[in-house]
Amino acid sequence: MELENQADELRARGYGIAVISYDTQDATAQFSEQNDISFPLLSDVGSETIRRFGILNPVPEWAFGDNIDDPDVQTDIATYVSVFNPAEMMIGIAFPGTFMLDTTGRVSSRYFENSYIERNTVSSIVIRLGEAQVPVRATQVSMPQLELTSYASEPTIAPGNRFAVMLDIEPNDGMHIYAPGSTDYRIVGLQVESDAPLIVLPMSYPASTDYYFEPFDETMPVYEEAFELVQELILDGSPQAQQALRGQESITVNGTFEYQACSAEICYPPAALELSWTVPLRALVFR
Amino acid sequence: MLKKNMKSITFNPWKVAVTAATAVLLAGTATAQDLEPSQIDVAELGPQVGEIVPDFSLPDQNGEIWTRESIMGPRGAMLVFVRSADW
Repeated sequence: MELENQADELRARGYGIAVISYDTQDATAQFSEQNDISFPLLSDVGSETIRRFGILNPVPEWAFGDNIDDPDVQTDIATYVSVFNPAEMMIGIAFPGTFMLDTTGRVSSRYFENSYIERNTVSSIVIRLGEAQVPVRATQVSMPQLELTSYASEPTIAPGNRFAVMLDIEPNDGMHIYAPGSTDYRIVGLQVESDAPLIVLPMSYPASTDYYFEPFDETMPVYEEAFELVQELILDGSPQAQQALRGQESITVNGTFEYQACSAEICYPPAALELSWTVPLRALVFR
Repeated sequence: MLKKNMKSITFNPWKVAVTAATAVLLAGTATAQDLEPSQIDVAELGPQVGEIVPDFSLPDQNGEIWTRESIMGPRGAMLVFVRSADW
């Protein structure tokens, strides 16, 4: 559990940590011993707490219900449970996710996984707590100003392939996010970094709308409704690049998502979220 | 059947998962979550930003009981749900 590596730092920054699963105490005790876990692994046998949170995954139950032949059920099983055979013991699992809570138990941000694709493409997001950085597996992030869903367009890639990382962004009610052409505000975008031989194409932006802010008598291009950013990438197919990729099973694309969100009343400072996508490589063909 | 279906969704699984919201609720599918096949949007499940999460009282790997209040550090807490530690 990668969280163990960050647990000390989280606590040093003043945050408690707890993990909840439907496992028995025997199972958590064994896992804890094998992996030297220092934080509480809470047993929710019977999934009562998971249900109370509203994040019980109902799909395993469908796999053993009367609708197993329903194509939608089949899709959901592959998406949310297992691309292999679902097992009856999976009934009661939670949708995996992370809540950041303030001291009163109020959610300050939340991070969830979604979609079949990330079974292949591991997506993670770095939560910054002061200087501490805690990576969590997630494709779906809820912040006070926006909802972000990020994923890679392809489950696997090969040298020479064009693919994309996608950012679906939905500003919360009354919020706007600054679009290209704005001045004095951080423009929404993604700074891509990777050790892999990637060619980064220009970000494709959808059309923005003009927002008039009366106190400053200024008009700026913004996004007020849901929009999608598509960052196209090409995995270099040159012989040298293929040589560099030899022996690797996947590539990791790192990106910093930057934005600035404001409402008619509040302007938040520029913010950044670190994202990463790990995409498996298909068998390489060497020339 | 499952294999065939998976193939068709690998074409553009995300879009399919999001847009195939035309499922019909059939008898026997209702659960505690009241979700219908292919209408799952994890972003809408559970406590949202600004909401207070439910309290709980659960034993850890050593038998110690923890609650929403007792997991808190001085600045808050990270509460992580995982599918299973066992598999």
